Amino acid sequence: MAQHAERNGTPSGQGPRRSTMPLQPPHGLKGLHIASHEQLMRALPVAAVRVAKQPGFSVMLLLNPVLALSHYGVTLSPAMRHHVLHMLRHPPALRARRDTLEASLRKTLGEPAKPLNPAWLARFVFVRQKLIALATESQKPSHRPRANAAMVAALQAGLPAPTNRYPELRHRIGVTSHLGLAPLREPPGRLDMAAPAPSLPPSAAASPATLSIEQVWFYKDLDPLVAAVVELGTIQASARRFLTPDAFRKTITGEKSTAFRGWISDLRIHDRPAGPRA
Amino acid sequence: MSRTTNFDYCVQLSIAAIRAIFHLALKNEALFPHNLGPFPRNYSGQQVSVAVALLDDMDAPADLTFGPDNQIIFALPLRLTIQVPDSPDPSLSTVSLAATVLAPGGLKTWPENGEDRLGVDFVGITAAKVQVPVVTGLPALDAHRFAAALHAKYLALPPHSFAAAGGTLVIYDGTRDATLTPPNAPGNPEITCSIVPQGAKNWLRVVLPIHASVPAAVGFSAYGSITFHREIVPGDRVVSVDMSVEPPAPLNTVVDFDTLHPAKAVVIANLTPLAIGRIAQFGPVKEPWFTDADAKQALAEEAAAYLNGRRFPLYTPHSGDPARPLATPVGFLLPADGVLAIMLNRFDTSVADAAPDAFLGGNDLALATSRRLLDETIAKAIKEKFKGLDSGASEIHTDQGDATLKSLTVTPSDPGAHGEAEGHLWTSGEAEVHIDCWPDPDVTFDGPIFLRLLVTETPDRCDFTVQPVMGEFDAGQSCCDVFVDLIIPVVGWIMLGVVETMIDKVGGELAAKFAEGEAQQVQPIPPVVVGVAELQACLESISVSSQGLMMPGKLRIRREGASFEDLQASGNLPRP
Repeated sequence: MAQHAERNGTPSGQGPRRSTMPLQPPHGLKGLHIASHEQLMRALPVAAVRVAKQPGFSVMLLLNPVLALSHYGVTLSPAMRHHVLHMLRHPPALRARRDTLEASLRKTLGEPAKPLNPAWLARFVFVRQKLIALATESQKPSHRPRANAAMVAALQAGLPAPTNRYPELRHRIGVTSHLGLAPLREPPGRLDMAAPAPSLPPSAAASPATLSIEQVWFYKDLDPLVAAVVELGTIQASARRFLTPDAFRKTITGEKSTAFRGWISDLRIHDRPAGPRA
Repeated sequence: MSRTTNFDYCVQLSIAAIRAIFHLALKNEALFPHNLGPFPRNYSGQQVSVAVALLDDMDAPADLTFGPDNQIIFALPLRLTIQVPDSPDPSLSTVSLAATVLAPGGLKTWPENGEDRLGVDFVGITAAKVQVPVVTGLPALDAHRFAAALHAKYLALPPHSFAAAGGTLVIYDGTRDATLTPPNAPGNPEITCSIVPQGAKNWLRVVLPIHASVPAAVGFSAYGSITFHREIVPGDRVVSVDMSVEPPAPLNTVVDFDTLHPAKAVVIANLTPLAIGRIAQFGPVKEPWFTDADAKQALAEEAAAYLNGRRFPLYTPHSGDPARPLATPVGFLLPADGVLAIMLNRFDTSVADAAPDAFLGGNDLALATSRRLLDETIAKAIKEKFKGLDSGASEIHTDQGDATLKSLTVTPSDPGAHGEAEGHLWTSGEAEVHIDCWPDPDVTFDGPIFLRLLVTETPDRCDFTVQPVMGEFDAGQSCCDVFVDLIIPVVGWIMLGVVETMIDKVGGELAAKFAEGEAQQVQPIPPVVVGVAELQACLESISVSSQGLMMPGKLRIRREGASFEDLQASGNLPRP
């Protein structure tokens, strides 16, 4: 790993962070214009070679693959840009579910659902659906188990077993200490739609002007439409996000810092796409 | 130099904490009885009794400092009460010497009940090793004390009327003998003493009121006095006056009468030898006596006698499981920093044990684990929990897709390294990310992971959680959840394991899993110093550097065992 870091100019001592160092875009590459999926598949091996030869810019493929490919000389038509970004946002099943929910909610509501917009959510719940505000303060919604639970379990199994060295003192010791690992922040994309929401009393306060997707989760069992909005919100929240052209440009120049630029020193793409995974 | 030298763990305690434990040890009557004796002692052939009292209060506080050569210098307030048993007036022949002696105690490890204990051992201490800077209570030559002794002697030596050479000599001492005839002169004069320095010597000048009646000497009958001098001889811890040694003129014994009787001179001439003989009957007068050097030597001897063989523990790890013995703790004092460093788990026996660097700062305690062990633990965890990683095939499944972690290294790094102001775990690796219908990218990554310790403290709880934080990630960057899911659990759980192992190995306790979650009840250091104190450690933060992990904290210390006051209240003080 140290070899990669040095090759890519990672600061190994005092100095600026990698994420704020300007990136040198690839250069001297012949332009390829892509207007169809088939053309894209044929172009990818070429792009893989170009990335391998000039890997310093490769991290930008994670931030916006369409814009990054254009810097590697592979430009996509507007339709293909939309196709690629839409395809990469979710695995196929989730993508289909999102499309279904967005379409049905738009039809029912007469406008696009905006489940990640707190003000829109509050209006939707309290004004349109006329639900009474619940006392959700200090309540925590349920989240689906992390997909890396097996990994965590394996690591947890390696912790030292209790030793209980001072059982005779346990009843006497006035102060007890507990040691654990701080839980990871639970992202809204992992809200558990299958878990029942607890029955909460009405809030003593007036209906709030904004609601987070986590707060609306407590209303999902009261109204099927609310449940649909929350589900759409979890899907949207789990989508891969890509930088806008302006943010992309600022990231290249170092004006804008992102964690990916800070952490990923290079990226190499395989010359053939993988098929759908089970 | 390093925090752990050739050991895997180091616990550092502040001198303030050691002082607190020491004061509690001093309160333990079983370890440090506060009153010993009286013991018989022979000072220059004179039998005396000596009682020793150990003090530690507001007026005479005990203290300690860390000295060189792994020795703790104890400042112990002692009081010696010396009495001469056959003194004519014991109440007046008592000397009470007090001093704060400086006695070195060795920092040592000893086995007790199958466990290793690290503490202070006074075994083999001698008077030569005890310093006595200042002594109070030194006796002064006091004429009144000699007078009191002579008053007692007077009473002990009847008769006070003597017949000789056809006459009668009566010796008075105020009204102490009311049977005398004739009675004492008007005013009832007493035996008086004064001290007369002459050259390098001090002389006790004594005046005895007398009456002499010699009918054959023209009816001589008169009151008078005998004035005599005897040398005050300071000896080894005793001062004595031998009444039988008549000095030459001009300090010779003088008899005089309050009369102008013509036979006065004759009577005096005849009476003087008789008077000297009577004076000799008072015998030697002895008082406890100490020069400054004598007193210091006596205190040093008694302090050594008191301390020799005593010891008290400072750190008493307890395995609780014969199958899992704990490593013998090895102590080092760092005098310049006021730190006691306790080393555990020697991993390199090819070099001499070495004192570590002080890393305690202004804290009560701090725990550190070696870089060697940290590297070993990380490598072992990665190898065992990510089987196939070294051959490039460890599957990770996350919500947003799957990934194959191909390599992972975690390197503890100093503040300043990698452009980070804070110490961190420099985490690097390579992964292949699986994206449906898209070429799988191979990603090479590296970056800092910071460790935080989140502490929640209440009067009866001190909970802490290890929180790994990926540098440059913030809560708004949900796009990075995959990455966080991929790396944080690995590093977080490995670090939790390192911390728990450290607590386990330094002799603290990992109690049963805590029901409220994944936390485990712990005692970061051994919670008891046997018979002395109960310790409650609360870790407050965690820091990473190229030397390993370090966790500072604070201590609550309270007394264990019975104090002098406890025994006094229950009527169980030891009897002489």
